Amino acid sequence: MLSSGFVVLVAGLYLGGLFLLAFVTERRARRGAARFVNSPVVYTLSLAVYCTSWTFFGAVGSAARNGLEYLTIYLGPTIVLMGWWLLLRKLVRISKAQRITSIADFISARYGKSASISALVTIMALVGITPYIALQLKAVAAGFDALGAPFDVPVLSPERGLFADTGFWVAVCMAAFVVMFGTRNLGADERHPGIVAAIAFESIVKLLSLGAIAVFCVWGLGDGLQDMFTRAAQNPRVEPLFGFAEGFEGRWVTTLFLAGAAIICLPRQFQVAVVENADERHLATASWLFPLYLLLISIFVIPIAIAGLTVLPATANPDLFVLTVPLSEGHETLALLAFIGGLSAATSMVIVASIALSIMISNHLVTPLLLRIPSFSGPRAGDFSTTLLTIRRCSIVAILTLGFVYYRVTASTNPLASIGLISFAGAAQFLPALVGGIFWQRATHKGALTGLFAGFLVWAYTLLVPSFADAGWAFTGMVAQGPWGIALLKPDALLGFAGWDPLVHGVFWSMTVNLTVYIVVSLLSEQAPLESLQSALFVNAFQRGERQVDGVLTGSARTEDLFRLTQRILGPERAFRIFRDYAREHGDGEEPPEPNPTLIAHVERQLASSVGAASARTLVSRIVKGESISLDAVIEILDETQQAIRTSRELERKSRELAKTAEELRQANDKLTQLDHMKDDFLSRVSHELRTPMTSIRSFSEILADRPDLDPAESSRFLSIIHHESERLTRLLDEILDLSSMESGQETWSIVPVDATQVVREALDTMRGLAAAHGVLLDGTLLEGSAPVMADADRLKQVIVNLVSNAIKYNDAAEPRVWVELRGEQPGELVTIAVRDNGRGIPAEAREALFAKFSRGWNDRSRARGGSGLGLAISRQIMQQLGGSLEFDAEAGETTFVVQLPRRSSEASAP
Amino acid sequence: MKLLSGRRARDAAIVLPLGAVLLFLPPYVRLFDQQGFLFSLPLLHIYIFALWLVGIVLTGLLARRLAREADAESAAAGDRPPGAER
Repeated sequence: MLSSGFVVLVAGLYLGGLFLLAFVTERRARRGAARFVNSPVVYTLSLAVYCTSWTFFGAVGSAARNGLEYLTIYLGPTIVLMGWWLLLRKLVRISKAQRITSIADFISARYGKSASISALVTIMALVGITPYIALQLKAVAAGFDALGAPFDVPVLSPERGLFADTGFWVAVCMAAFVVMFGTRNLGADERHPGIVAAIAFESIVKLLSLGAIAVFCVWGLGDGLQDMFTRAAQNPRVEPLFGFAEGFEGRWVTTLFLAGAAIICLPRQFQVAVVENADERHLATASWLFPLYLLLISIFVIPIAIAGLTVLPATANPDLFVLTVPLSEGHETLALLAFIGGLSAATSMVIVASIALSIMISNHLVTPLLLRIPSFSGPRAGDFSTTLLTIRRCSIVAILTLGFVYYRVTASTNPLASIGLISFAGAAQFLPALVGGIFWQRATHKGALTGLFAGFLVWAYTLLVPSFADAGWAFTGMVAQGPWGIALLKPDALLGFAGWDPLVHGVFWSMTVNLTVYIVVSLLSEQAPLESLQSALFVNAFQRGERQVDGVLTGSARTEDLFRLTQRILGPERAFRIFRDYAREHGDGEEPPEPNPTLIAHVERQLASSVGAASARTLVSRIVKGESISLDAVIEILDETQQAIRTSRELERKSRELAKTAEELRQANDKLTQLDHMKDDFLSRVSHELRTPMTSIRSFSEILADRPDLDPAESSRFLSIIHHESERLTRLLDEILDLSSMESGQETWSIVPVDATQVVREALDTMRGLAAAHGVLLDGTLLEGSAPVMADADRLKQVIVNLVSNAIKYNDAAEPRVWVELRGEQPGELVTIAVRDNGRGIPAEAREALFAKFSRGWNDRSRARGGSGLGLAISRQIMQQLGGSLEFDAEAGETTFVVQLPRRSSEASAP
Repeated sequence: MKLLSGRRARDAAIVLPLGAVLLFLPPYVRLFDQQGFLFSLPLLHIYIFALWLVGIVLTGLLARRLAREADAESAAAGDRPPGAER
């Protein structure tokens, strides 16, 4: 039997050693010598503060009671650490940029440095964590008592006096430890190397002592693994450890989720994982090393649980198997080692949790209140840094007192694991606001505040109230019948969800309400400018550095005021260093720096590293005059990324357009060149064509002028040639003018209803003389009735005449014939006039240019027959103007020109 | 590890935890919930702990790769390493 005096001595020596370790590390760190604290392994071990006495004693208890469910508590963090690249890395990056001091500070900074959010988160954390601290006190006290009397079932009797209660002395020792090492100074970034070293050491002790007990259980009690499992298989009490019970899924999923949330949302985990992180790269090591630590702990639990269930009587408390198994075999040294392990687990948790909570209380609850008192906030107020430290020390004592009171009041009714899980569920309420805040830019301050509050209320109602009722402490009637007898509102069966596991029920409702309110209110509300800025910085933490943000807040302040403020909050020495370093960095030498917005932002960040973002904001805004957020700058930052994407898209589109335009331009240029060629061609042909008659006119008129003695018959023949040639000249010029006036649209048209049959008949009558002169047979197959169209009768006739005269003039067949057909009697059809001849046709290569002015169709043959080469061009122009068409029908084999006009419908007969 | 370069490594860093979640949730976690012993150890324990260990090994390999990449990136950008004191 171990005497309690001996146990106290060993525990005292252990804690003393811890003091020494923390003290030396702190001293060396100040000189910059404690490099080992900055190693990834120490970082990983400090994360293991996650394994509290709940793990050390409670995991075995949980395994003995509920089988493998205890594994979820370690699998959850394993998965989160595996996903470090996605979540933890971003949290660390943001916290460094924003000088975050706690989880409350983080959430409040994200939602516009809101003081109300940080206060709410602090209160939630305090309410949620107090039972957890009580749990540690209870575990240590119960362990201590168990070393003296292992099988007394009520390990702790509440009627014991305060000073006889082991828990009291545990609380006092821990408070002293934390006050000494947690609040030695206001660190540059709230890091505590001494504490980190101590808890890393404690993590090793935990692991080794649990491992030692496990090894003892396997090889000390029996004959190795096989022997242990064979004996276990025969014992019905061990059966839950080898498989899943019916309906385990609900609790399995819930506890997995809670544990995963806890590793980032518990204030102490946020403190060690994010705030105390010295280097982002440490996460890479922790991502596999910490899961390995958890894996080992989980494996050690199994043999201890099996041993407890097989060796000890059924009345033994499973939460103390770790101690009672070695004790029952008379291995007192091993039991003492186990007790030290449990003590390590408990002290490390209490130390870190109370530091994290004290920072939150001082920064988010007390400081904002003090700042309302003029004597604290006025320009002549004294040094604030000592006040801050005092507040922190008082907070630590208060937190431990609260935990101790809770422990005394609720006594020992609940098993360890269920208290811990209620705390986890409380901390999980931070998850939506935290994770939503770094991935969802639209999330607003109102959404976060209402979501947190609603989740907290439902958590308290569905989990905390029933746990009080179970302890017989309060609310028993409410839990049994529902408030005011309304069964639908019963805390453990909300809206009739009866029969669920209370934890699953509470987590389901609180998370549902929390998340829904958070999302819906965020969608319905708008962000303030500061909030937009912060949300952009948080969500896009990897895209830009903090420097780009400077200058968003505009305003002016005197350098002396800023310096005095810094001095008050951070102490004279640090204030001096901050301003000196700033001045050097910005090239002002040893002169006091210019009080520009960059300096103001810098000072605010430095203050935030001590008092939190919201309080720093309040302090700075007091001395800065005419402060406003430049909306343009905010929008610029918000839009920067999107802008870049948009710009590149725009560029892409523009370049596509440019390519298209260039192509069009090239085509237009080709066409223009071609037109230019045609124009030159046209001019040369026109002048050539004009020259021929001009030459003959000139030469004949010269003969007439030079030789007056010419006989009258000869001279009258010359005159008639001159006349003929000038007529031809006039006709040519008329046609050119005609065409150009038509092309430029100056021509006035008298489009009236006409009968196409009539027009064609007149045209044929006109051409009969010419046909007879060329010996051509002219056939007209016309409609009996009328073919009403809208047209200018003269122009239409001109087209027909032109086509027929061409057909006559160029027909060199032996028995030349020309047919003219008019079709289109049905309404809605097109009126078609076809002019066909049996000549030798038009060569394929000439067809394309047939309708072009003076183009290749205008060959020697045509000039010889007196054609101007403009006839077809004019005809086609006319038909287009009339809304019809003129085509050359190549398929017919013979030469056929087809004129088409829409037939005028009878209803629209009126012009 | 040449396979895991750049983008692929970053994608794997997201897929790995998601896969772990899936395999540790019912119904997968029930796959080996049978009576039976292998090397005198219960099958279910072997499944869970082996899966856990494989996850740790993969995370470790991936973390080395990602850390090297992040270093290269910050060196390329001319930044101070992300953990350096400001």
